[in-house]
Parts: sequence; C-alpha cells; structure tokens
Amino acid sequence: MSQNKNILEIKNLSKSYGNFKAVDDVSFNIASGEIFALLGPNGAGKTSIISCISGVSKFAEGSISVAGSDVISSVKDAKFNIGVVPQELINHGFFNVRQILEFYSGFYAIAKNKDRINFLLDRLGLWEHREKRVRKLSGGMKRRVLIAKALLHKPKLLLLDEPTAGIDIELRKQLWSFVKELKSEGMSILLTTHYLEEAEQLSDRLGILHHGKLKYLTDSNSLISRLGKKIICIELSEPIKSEHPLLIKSDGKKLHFNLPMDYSLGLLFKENNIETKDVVDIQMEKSNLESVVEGFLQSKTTGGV
Amino acid sequence: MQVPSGKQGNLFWVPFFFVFYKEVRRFKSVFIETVLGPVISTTLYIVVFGMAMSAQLTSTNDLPYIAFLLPGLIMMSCLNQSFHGTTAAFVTAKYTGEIEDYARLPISSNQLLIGFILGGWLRGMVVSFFNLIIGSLAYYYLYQSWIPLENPFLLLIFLSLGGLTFSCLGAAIGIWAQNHEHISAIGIFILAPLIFLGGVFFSVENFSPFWKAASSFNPIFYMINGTRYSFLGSSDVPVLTCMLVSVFSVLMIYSVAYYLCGKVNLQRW
Ligand SMILES: Nc1ncnc2c1ncn2[C@@H]1O[C@H](COP(=O)(O)OP(=O)(O)OP(=O)(O)O)[C@@H](O)[C@H]1O
Ligand SMILES: [Mg+2]
Repeated sequence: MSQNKNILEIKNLSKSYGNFKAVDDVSFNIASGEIFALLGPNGAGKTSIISCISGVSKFAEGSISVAGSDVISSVKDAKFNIGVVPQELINHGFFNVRQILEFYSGFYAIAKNKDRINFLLDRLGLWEHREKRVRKLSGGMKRRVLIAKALLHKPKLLLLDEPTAGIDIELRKQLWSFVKELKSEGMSILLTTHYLEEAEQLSDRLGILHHGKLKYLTDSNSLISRLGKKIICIELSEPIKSEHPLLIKSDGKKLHFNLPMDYSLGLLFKENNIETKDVVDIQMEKSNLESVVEGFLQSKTTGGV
Repeated sequence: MQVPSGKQGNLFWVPFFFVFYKEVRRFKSVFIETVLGPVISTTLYIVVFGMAMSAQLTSTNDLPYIAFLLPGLIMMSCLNQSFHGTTAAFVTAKYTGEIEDYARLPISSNQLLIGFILGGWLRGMVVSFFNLIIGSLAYYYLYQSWIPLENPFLLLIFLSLGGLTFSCLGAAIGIWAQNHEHISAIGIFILAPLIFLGGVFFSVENFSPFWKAASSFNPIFYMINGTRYSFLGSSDVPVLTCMLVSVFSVLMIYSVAYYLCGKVNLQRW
C-alpha cells in the first residue's frame, strides 16, 4: 500500500432518520497515520457519521471506504479493519474484563490473544480490575474497557466517539500519549470530542460539523489560535480608567479583557498603564472548544458563507 | 513499542465459534436458573401428575401412565428451555447494549443467529439429559423396572429438532421484542396453549373432534409424538410425519428469524 493512501474515504455522505437529515453531504478523507478530530455541538451528527462508517447505520446517499473496502459491498473486510469506541457504555452482564477481551478477540477471528490483551490491560490501567465483572466497574473504567475492546485486533482505523468523557485528568493524559503512540505506529484515528485541549493535543486536522454539514476543514492549531480567546480579569489596588478596545467590563478596580489566544499580557499592561506593583490578582480563563466552535459558526453565518 | 495482536484464524468459523461459546458460558454461569430450575419443575410434574395419577390411569400397551407422561414432559421442558435460551440471549444483549456491539463486529446475521440458536439448543439438551435421568429414576422407584427406551438415537433426533425449532422461535421473538412484556405475552398466549394442547398430558385421542383437528396443525403435537415413539415404539401419528413436520418447522422458523434480523433495528432497550 502506498504511503499517502487514504485509510478512510467519505464521499458525499447523507444520512436521514425519517425526514430528518442528520448528516448532509459530508466528504472527507483520513490518511494513514493521521488523526482527524470531528467537532460540533450536541446533535451535530458526529455519532451518526461514526455509525455509518462502522456499519451500524445504513445510509442512502454517498459512499464510505475503509482501507479500500466499501463499507456496504465489502462490509466484513471493512469491519476487520475498524475498531470502534462507541459513545455509550456497555455492561456485559455476566463476564469479567479479561473474559470479555478474550471473547472479543475471538469475534475478530483471533483465538489466542493473551499477549495483546495483557498489554492493553496494563496500558489502560485495567490490570488490577481484570477479574472484575464489567457491570461492576465505574463509568470511567467501563470506558477504558471499550477502548481495549476496540484495539484487540490492531485496526487500521480507530473511531473514537468522545473517548475521554468521564475519564479523570490523570488517565486522560495517559490516553493522549497512548493515542499518539498508536498514531506513530501508523494507525489512523477519527476522534470526536468536546474538549478543546484534546483536539489541540491530538489532531492533525479537524472538521466542524453543524446541523449535519461539514463546515470547515483545517489543521488544528490554526483554527484554535485564530478563533480561540482568553478572558482575563485583573484586580488592582488603585482604580484606573481604561478605554482599551478589548475591555469588556470594568468597575475601576476589576477589569475584564477578552483577548486573542496569542495576545501578550506585557503588552496589555503597557497599553493600559498598569504597574505590576498595583496588581492584586490575575485570573485567566481560556475559551473552551464550544466557544471556539460557536464563535466560528457565528462569524461564518454573519459573514454569509 | 506495542505488542502485536495474535494470529487470525478462519475468518468465518472462529468468530462463529466464539458467539456460540460465549452463549454457552453465559447460561453456564447461571446454571441454577437455567438447568437446575427446569429439572426441579419436571420433578414436580412427575410427582404430582405421574405418581398421584398413575394409580388411576393406565396408558396404551398396558404401561403405567407415567410411561406415557414422561416423554411428553421431557420434550416440553426441552422446548421451553431452548426457547428461553435464545430469548434470554437477545434480551441480555439488548439490556446490556451488547446488541450494538454485534452490529459493529465482523459477524454476519447467520453467524450470530446460528451461534445463539445452537447455544439455546444445547441448553435444551442439557436439561433434557438431567430430566431423563430424574424421570427414569422415579419410574424405577415406582415400578422396579426401567422405562422402555426403544430408540435412543431417535430420541436424540427429536429432542434436537424440537430444541432447534424453539431456539429459532426464541431468536425470532428475542429480535422482535421491544421489552420483557412482549416475551412473557408470547409465552402465555401462544407457547403454553400450544404445548398443553400438543398432547403432553393426554393422548389427543381423548380430545373432542374439534380439538383433535386443531392439534394436527400444531407442530408441537408431532414433536411430542415423535419423542413418545422413541420411548414406547408407538404413537398417534406415523413417526416419519413427525420427523418431516419437525424439520420443516426448524427451516421455516429459522427463515423468519433471519428475515427479522435484517429487518428490525437491533437497538438496546
Ligand atoms: N436513531 C435515531 N433516530 C432518530 N434520530 C436520531 C437517531 N440518532 C440520532 N438522531 C438525531 O440525529 C441528530 C444527530 O445525532 P448524533 O448522535 O449524530 O449527534 P452528535 O453530534 O453525536 O451529538 P453529541 O455531541 O450529543 O454526541 C440528532 O438531532 C439526533 O436527535
Ligand atoms: Mg455523539
């Protein structure tokens, strides 16, 4: 297979539930070893796209191929190359974590998979929970089991639907480095997330989905630095009067500014004649992905796409 | 460096085997409910109907009533357990969300269905085995002789065909059902009447002409008669007819289950 071959190709995909069009004429590709983040508000259609790729939902228009296999006409070939981490948790009533991973290896035609299973249990922090019933694990642990299940057969394409929802900060960081490692071994990854930091850390490119339409395809950093904002609140010992264009609120002593991500604080102090000795406190709040996306969508609609 | 995954075997048979194996492990893990329970209820039937009524009744061939009853009871239990085996498989999968996994996995409808159906069939066979032992012991205790078993091989075939028919039916119902009530409704309104009117407790020769005619449309009637023939060497209808009807039932109901599997959206409850 040539190096620049696309692992995932989606052409003009539309998906309707009854009369409601959840995905509307979406096209994009993911190259081998690339991480693509799909962003968008609740109900934008992210999970619907993932369901179409993974063969769960049927779709009437468009085509999807995974590692060269069409997901409709060669559904099994495609499925052997895909690993899916679904958004919703699964309980597996009767079995413990290790048993489930053994069964799921079998479902991917791998009868003996002990080394890989042990490796995943270890890397996902599940080792000491391996003999526990999945049903009895906490939500975050169940999500780790979902991730392990998706990686048993080392798929070429990994679909991560909000993989870190409900996962603590510690493991989230571990997971990010794990995902980067998967990528470095050549796995292609489609990721949906509501965390700006996650998209920023992981993805090579991202797309914004809104009402089923793919609005924007870009490389991740440019979008965030272009549209990301930070809100700064400076508390002073002596009141000052400021008419700075980025000031959004002030009572003299407490000043709120809405700044672009790369705006320097030194410059802000200078422009407002603030002396460091007068500063009592500074609070900073970086904008989250929702507001970046929101801001982007607003700028597009007012700008008339 | 990551640890590679193990070697892939046959892409059809290995996943298929694991569907079946997981299903067997599931009902094994609830052995008390799935095997012990039905065996106890068969024992109760033997005690209440068999032992209590044997005194007043004799059946054909001058054998005691319990010789007539036992084959029917074994088949009834086999049908029930095979049915519950596959409905429970689908209900559990819908309840836990596993049903959505099966859609994502490289497993076809045939692999999933046949794996589950063989699981249900095996459950019926295991229960039948224990029922046969308990029933034979009870018979020996009462009459100091073993119950006649003319053709064990034929018994195996009839139990298998009956079990397969009902595990196919369980699969169809399990796929179609949107909640637990659907399944218990089918049990009460359809299965129980069919089984009871299929001649478990009395020969349909004793029925009124209307019910006798109605019985000839009841596939369970033929399955129970086939089983009885395997034990006693005689039955109300020719054994070949019993066999053909049973095979036809398996194929028919499997087709229905397969059709539903493609048609119904398999979502979690
Ligand atoms: N099975 C279904 N039947 C009918 N409508 C559906 C179904 N699944 C999804 N939808 C609708 O399709 C739209 C897209 O849903 P989808 O789950 O793809 O959104 P999402 O982007 O994944 O949202 P979230 O961020 O909340 O996960 C929503 O309006 C949803 O209500
Ligand atoms: Mg979603």
